[in-house]
Amino acid sequence: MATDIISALELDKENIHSRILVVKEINNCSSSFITSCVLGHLIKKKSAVLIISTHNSIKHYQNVGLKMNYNLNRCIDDGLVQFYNFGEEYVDKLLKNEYISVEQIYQNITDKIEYMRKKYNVVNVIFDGVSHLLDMYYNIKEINLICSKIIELIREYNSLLICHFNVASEHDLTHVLANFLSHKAFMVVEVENLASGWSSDVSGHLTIKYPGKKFDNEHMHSLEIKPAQYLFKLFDRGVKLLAPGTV
Amino acid sequence: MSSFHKKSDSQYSIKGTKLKNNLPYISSGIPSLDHIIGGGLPSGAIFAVEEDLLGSYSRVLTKYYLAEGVTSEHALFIASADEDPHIIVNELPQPCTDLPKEVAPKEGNVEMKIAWRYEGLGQVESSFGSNSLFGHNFDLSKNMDKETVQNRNITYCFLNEDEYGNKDKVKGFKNYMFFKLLTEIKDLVSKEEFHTSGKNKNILRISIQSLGSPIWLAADCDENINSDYGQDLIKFLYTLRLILRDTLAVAFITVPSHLFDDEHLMPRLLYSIDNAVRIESFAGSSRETNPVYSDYHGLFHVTKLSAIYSLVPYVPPSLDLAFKLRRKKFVIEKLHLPPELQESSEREQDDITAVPKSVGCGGFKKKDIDF
Repeated sequence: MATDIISALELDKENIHSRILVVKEINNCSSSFITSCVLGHLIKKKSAVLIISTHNSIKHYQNVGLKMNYNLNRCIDDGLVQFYNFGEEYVDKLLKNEYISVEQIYQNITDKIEYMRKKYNVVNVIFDGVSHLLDMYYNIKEINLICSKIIELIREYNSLLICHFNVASEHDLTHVLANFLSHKAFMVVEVENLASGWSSDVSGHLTIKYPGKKFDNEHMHSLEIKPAQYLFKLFDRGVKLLAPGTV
Repeated sequence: MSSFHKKSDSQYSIKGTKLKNNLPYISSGIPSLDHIIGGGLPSGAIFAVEEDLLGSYSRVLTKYYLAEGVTSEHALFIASADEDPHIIVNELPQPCTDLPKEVAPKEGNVEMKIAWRYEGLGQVESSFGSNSLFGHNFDLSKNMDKETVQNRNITYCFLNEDEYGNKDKVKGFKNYMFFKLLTEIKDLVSKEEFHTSGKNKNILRISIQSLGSPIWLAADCDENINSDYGQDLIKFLYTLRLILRDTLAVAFITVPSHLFDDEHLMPRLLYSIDNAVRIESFAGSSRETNPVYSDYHGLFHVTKLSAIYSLVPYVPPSLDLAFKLRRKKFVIEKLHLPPELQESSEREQDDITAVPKSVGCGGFKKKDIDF
């Protein structure tokens, strides 16, 4: 059931290295299904992943993973997946009246990647809830710095990076932050709840933009590449993509 | 007999909970609210109510939530900066013990049959959760015994303005009240009984009234530059989310979002909140006198529903919801227009010239009309 998402994100192709995917959550939509699908795919391929999470807990991904036919906890025990619960670390320090500097965050992430690289050549990174760094009172410059440094690491090691951003509203700081990183992205995925509310037939809209393909030979003569638009429906065990107008 | 037993039954045998997606859910004290948000409030999550303009109905919701906790013998933590939390505990409604009796059909009364063409249609359910056995109904006219309340594990946290003087003590927050509340919650949640894997497990119901009212945001208004208005509140909710995650605590907070200076604040807060609803009361608005809404006291909006431990969020049965407050029930229903508006004549003069019985043949007299 995750194949629709994997092929839409072009992760089933051979050369997926050094790719940056930005996921924007619009209108309170959750993009955790993309993380769960990609995790399943990478675990199947025996490709190592570091999950930096500020939004969802490991138990959430574990419970969803079991339904999608993979055991995240077992992969963590094997060392294939590592879960860095940055949010929890931040809260512990905050309540002790301490502060984590940007350099410290970056150092922690680098250490974890380096540790995994002893065993695996390629270490992919999924950063869930980048927008929460704004809630923690880091400014845009600092968050951009963290993201840029992670991107440098990814490029160096030929890996995949997926960053999840929540866009609270169009004229909000969270939108500015998401747009900053979209410029560096190979692919921008926008997941959006239905504007009219909830429906039992469709869960939301999914739009994929391709800023990374702008300078490909086939798109050299077009001003802007047409984004791919889908409707998505979430199931207990996966996601199905539908063409607009088919439901 | 099979040697396999369902693990979940023994694992979560906490009173007043039910299991969904491997996660214990508790009742909000209003069966119809539980129904429209997907079966109750998930543990380890934040449920927010955007208050109505006068805050009266959101206060009723808090009372139901706490009363349900007392009835289910859960631990309670009540925090407020606007009023002493002891006051609301003294006003908790008593659970209704008598269930509505079924009307016995009269003898000789032939059972009514549905016309064949309507038989295949599904039953229209406009009032939700009426058949639910989860949660209780409460009688607002009677208060709970003081003894029952005293026997429960209740922690009070009255945050007054004196705390404001301590603002230089902490680095993370401008307003010390946020820090104090977080540390109190963290201390309580770290007790073993509120851990998912602990022994003698129990649910901790946290209630925070009017979070984000002017008392909370006073420090933000001190600054001349208003660029970080509400930053403390955003940080507080995010931290609260992380403290509660994967525990047996549930936070029920009411937020007076209509008082916020910045329209971006509520959408930012919603990212940290798991489930949220908004109450729009008719009191004081033009809708109060509108005959279309005569059966209801206000509209009920579902703002956010999250999928915890699952991919699929719950889809509410309807999005056009209205509520009415009865003495023994707070009912959320699908908004229906009345079948027919009140009788009115097409022309105004028809009414005026109609001869009242007491007037006799004397015709119409101005003094008989009541304006």
